[in-house]
Amino acid sequence: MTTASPMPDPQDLLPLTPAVFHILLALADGEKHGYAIMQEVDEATDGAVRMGPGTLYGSLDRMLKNALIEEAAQRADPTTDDKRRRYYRLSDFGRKLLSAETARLTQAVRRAKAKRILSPA
Amino acid sequence: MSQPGPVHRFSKAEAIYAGLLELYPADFRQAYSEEMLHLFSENWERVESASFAYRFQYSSRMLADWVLTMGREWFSATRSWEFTLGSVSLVYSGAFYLVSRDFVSVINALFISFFALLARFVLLSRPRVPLLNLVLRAIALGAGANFLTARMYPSHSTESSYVLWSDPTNLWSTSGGTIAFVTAAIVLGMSDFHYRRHFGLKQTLTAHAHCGWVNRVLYNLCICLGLWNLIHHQYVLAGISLTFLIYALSDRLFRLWIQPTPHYVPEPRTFD
Repeated sequence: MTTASPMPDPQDLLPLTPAVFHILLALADGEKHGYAIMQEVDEATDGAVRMGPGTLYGSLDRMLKNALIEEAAQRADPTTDDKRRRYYRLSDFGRKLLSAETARLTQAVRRAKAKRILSPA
Repeated sequence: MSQPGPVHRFSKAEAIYAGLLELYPADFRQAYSEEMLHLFSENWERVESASFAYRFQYSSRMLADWVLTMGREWFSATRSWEFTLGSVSLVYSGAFYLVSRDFVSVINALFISFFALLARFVLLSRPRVPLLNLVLRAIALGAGANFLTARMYPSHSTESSYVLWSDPTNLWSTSGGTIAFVTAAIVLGMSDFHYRRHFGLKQTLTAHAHCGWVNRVLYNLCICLGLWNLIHHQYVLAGISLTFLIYALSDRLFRLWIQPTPHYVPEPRTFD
């Protein structure tokens, strides 16, 4: 009989690195391939977070191993006519982790506002 | 009959990047290098027509990304005492000789470190070619003929204590420290072969980090022996213990802070 590995508490894995956080966020609304993730992160952060191919695929590799994301079926990008690409999607655990990190950041922003570091929205 | 697709001709930048990708660890390269090159090519198409300054900035960023991630991937691929110890000791040896202002010895130390790592890797990856192993190990150890550099020969410093060719009297030195180092070196070598035979190369290279309690005990023993030398004013050997300690600390820092995520891998699904 095999016993499943215990799922770690997301709180134990916080804070996430910027690369991991932005990749999880990019995958929150559906499956994407590497180039699409890179583009979304670049646009969403106005170029503040620019991942090179090594950083991106190194992070994806570790996230796959840690079950934060899953690999979807390879297929061609419908918006381009080039070859098949590898797609990634968020796992349930990855979604929980993203939610926990977002809550942590929200709390930090709330405290910064309370101390008038940031002007209230 | 299917028509062949259009042939994509690599630009110089793409060819260089493809070459750099070859230097990633094999597993990582096989899994991602094609997509990484694809991604680089797509970006390069946009960058190619930009100004020289922008192209230079982009190329620098790609180069920095390659340097940092290649080191990181190699480290996580091997996660072994030897490779990390090797890199730490390269810096350590260099720093030691820079302080002593003996630049020739700096080059010697780096040269020896390189051959020491190469020899061990070949020894582990090609155990069925004993002659080649013997030749490479002889070169590695032979390069350490100089007494001081042999003492600083880092990744297998334990062995260097009894292969000091320029000072044969040390070969049979009966000091407690030397005998203990020799014993540790022999047992370490035997444990390497044991792991290689039973678990394969990759497991052997990661054995120290994951399952090699025997090796852990032995390396800790080496640290203790280094400290013993420090107490007895044998500063060069004590320096070797510093290398071990630096590595021991960096190993823990890596696990606790740099890569805090545990290796959670779900059980494979079974179908009845």
